[in-house]
Amino acid sequence: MHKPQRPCLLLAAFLMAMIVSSCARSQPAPSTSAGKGCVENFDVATDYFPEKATIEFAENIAVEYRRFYKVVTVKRPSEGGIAERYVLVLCGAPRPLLPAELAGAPVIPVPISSMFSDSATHMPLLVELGRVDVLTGINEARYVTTEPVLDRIRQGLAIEYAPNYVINTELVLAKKPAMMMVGGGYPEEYKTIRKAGIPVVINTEWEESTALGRAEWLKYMAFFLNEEAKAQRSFDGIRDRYMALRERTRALPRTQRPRVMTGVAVRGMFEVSGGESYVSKLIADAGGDYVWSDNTSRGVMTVDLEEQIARASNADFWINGGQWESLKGMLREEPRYKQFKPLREGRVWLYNRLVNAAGAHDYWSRGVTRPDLILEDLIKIFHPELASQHEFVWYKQVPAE
Amino acid sequence: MTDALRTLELAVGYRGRGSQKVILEGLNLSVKQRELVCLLGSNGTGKSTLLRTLARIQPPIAGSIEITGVDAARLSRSELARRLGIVLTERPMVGALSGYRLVELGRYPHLNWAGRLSANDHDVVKRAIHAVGADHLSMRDSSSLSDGERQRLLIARALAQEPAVLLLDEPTAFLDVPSRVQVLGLLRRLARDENLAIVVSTHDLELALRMADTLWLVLANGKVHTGLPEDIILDGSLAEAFRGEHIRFAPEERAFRLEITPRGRAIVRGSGLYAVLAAAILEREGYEVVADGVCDFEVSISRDSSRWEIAGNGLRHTGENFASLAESVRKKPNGKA
Amino acid sequence: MGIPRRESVVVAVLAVGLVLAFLMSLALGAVWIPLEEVASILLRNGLGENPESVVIIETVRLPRAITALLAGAALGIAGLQMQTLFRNPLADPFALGIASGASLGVALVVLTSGASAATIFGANLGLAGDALVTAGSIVGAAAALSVVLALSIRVESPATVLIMGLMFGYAAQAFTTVLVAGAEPAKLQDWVRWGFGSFGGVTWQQMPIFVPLIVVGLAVSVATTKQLNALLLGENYAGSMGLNVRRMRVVTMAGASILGGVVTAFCGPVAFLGVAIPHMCRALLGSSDHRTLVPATILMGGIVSLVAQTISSGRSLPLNAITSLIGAPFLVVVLMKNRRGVFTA
Repeated sequence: MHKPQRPCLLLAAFLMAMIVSSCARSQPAPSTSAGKGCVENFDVATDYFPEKATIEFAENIAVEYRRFYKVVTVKRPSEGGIAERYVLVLCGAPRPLLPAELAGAPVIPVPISSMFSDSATHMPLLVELGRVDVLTGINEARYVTTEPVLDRIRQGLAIEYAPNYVINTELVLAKKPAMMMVGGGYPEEYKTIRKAGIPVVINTEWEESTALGRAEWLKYMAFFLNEEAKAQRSFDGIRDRYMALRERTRALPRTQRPRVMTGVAVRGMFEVSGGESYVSKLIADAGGDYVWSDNTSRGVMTVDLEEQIARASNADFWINGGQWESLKGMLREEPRYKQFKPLREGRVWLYNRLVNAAGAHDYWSRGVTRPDLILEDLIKIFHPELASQHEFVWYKQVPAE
Repeated sequence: MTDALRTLELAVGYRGRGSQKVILEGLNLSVKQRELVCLLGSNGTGKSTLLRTLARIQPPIAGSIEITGVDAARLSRSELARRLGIVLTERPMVGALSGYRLVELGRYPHLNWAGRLSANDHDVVKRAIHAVGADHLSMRDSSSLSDGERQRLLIARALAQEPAVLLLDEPTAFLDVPSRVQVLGLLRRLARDENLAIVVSTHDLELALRMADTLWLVLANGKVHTGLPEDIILDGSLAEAFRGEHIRFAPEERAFRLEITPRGRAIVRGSGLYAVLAAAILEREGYEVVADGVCDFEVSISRDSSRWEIAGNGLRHTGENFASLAESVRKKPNGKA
Repeated sequence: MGIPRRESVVVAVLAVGLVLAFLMSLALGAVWIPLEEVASILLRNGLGENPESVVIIETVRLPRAITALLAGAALGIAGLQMQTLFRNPLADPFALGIASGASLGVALVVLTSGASAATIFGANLGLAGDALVTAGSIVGAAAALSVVLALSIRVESPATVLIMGLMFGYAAQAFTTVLVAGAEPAKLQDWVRWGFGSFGGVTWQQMPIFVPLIVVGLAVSVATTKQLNALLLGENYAGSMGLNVRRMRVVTMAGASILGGVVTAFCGPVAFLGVAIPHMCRALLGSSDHRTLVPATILMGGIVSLVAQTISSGRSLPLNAITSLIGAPFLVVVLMKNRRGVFTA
């Protein structure tokens, strides 16, 4: 019976060879970047992401961990836009087989080693994660207020790629960052950059309607750096602090909450924060009663001057207005401001305590990751006795002259 | 009586930047009240320039113009407007303006700053409209009128200024023949009835010869020849000014004729209008019509003017209307061929 | 014969209409204030006055209504002057490039001045905010006007002046585009908002400048009614009737441009009213006689402007959107009905 078995063995061996070789074909050469944090010997059964981030407040982020790659979703990259998805593959790991709906998604090896950013609001995310070292380019240096980043720019380790709001595409392509993070809108240049092979990811923390939601984008940045552990710890700390602060005012009844107005007049109209905006929620958390809290706008809205007068003329505090140097200056600009009690009584507060030479407000950088400090500032304004130990970080009262 | 309009060594032309072009010079022209002057000349001779200079639309190159004895250069714009009215070739179309309102505009130099019209002003306007025979047009929207009607209203408008002098620059261009005759006839009447001095430039030579008291003929050499139409015909300057290839001015007909080499000669026998018209047909067909002598054929008109007969070269044709005569003549072999 | 019956009636109706439109614009808003209350507040007889209504009317609605009324009248008259002077039914107060000059002035102020932080409410520029914008606009408009006037004195035909004005306007727009291209997003927002036009930005403090300038401009147009009529037949005829055409050209262009420039300076570029209102009046009156056309245009300009203002704030739509919606269809209808055109030579 030996003779007939030999062909079977040969067949078996042939088949095995076929299987093995086809398996080999589905595993293309492993990624060449054998850098820090990369996988040396890939094992398909290992979960390479033991520390997973969970998203509590940010409505716009979703993440799915799949052992050696993550699928990160930004649900609303722009008003009415369709969700963007990114596939973040651990470097050293093989490219995953992706289902049809992820076919066009950019595949980004993580952790990234270099990155360009088009917004000063991304800087504190890097600082908080201790990974400023990864930044190699920023669009306009004059809006940066974060010291470590300014340092990097001064040392030439990070360049400016859009000095006058015109993106120098060639410069970006020449520097070839591993990724580019942009704040909003996709100007044509970004499309070119994407086509050239540099992944462009969008960061829409400004669309979140809660302060904690905005801060949670720290985790988003962490996805690309594999620093979820740090991000989670950091954010948890901030969140706990925020919640504790909120407790101080939570029980205050309406009668004990001062009425708060926001905004600035423009040509007979008034621009104010919407009722569902993060500002409105901060006011509520700080023990205030926002005059437009019943409104449903999530961002900034324009109302007729007379409506604002009707609602807010008897407010107690006025925060987040224009670039005012003094109350007198305010009246010179728009004499009708005197219809508002906070101006007459000198209780107008702006977050312009920390402003750099180019006029950039630190509030817009560090304030994004430290909503607890913003909250504390606001509590100190509305209920000073509840925040007596705190010193103002960003908020300053507008002087009489 | 002083001249209504007088020029003294007037030179007209164009002034460019640093340079000037003189078209006509040394002009000493004059127009009296109740006189109608027709300004004639081929295109490009400077007719329009002269008229526009007289109307003060353009400044003169040299010399001066006097209106009712006063140097025009010394008159203010309003004073000038009260003496001089113009009608131009351009036909401004203004919507939503009645005929009356259009003529009313002519009172401008007589009104105060507010533009209010007194009863007297209204009288003048009405008279002007009546004088041009446009009473039935005054209530109609001026943009709905025909060109001839509108031109009449524009003349009335100039009249409403109560000027001493009226200048018209080819007012009959673009008008149909009946309108042209009417306008010139109107001007003739206005000169006499309204005591105006009128200068009108026109291409209607034959009408001008009939209607004008004086002709100003602009010659190619930059001079202006003036005089009675008949005198100008007699001294040959008219023929000279309008000579061209194949045309000549026929003084006895006071009209132009085509000059061609005649195919032959013919005699027309008969009298009255039919004979004259038959001769016209023969001429059109290229035959020289003579009274007697050698000829290629004879055309006779019957006494009662109902028949014609051609006889000559052995052929005899007869017919009853001009069409058949013309056909017959056309088919007639050329005597000389 | 005097002024025909139809025209007097129309002017009288317009006058009444203006008063009504004015009162309505004071009554309508986020809160409806009954007309009796409006009247009593205006007359200050203190009966049944609600202090909140007083504040709203005095600080918001009244200055806005006055601005709208004067701006509408100004634009209408300026458009009429330009249409008559250039004998062109499409001429408007900005045909000489005045608005483009004003825009350039504003762009230089809004898009380039000082350091600006990326704040949400970056609508203001600091102390001198709106006043700086107004000044920039006036300087720009005045510069444009001087250039065009200087050119017009040397030029024979009005059509050439119009073309020069257009070219100048395009040049100014080109410069403005360069500024826009290099501007930051926050400032661009300001710029776009200025471009919407608004009657609500003129405060009582600015009225002593705004009102006299407009009134003077309107007075000039009334004083030159007779001359404007003379121009109906064209400059040659007008000159022959005694009009000093060169001087009239300068006075009319300056008058119209100043009216247009002042409105643009205080209210932003307001579209369509200048072109459409004279045509509306001509259609209603059935006449081109300026003796009734001028007062009718002033009244109609005020009415349309007040209506546009009321709709605009009622629906939170930009003013220019409303004026375009009103003006454009009207203009199309007028031009189509008038096959031979209002002015042709």
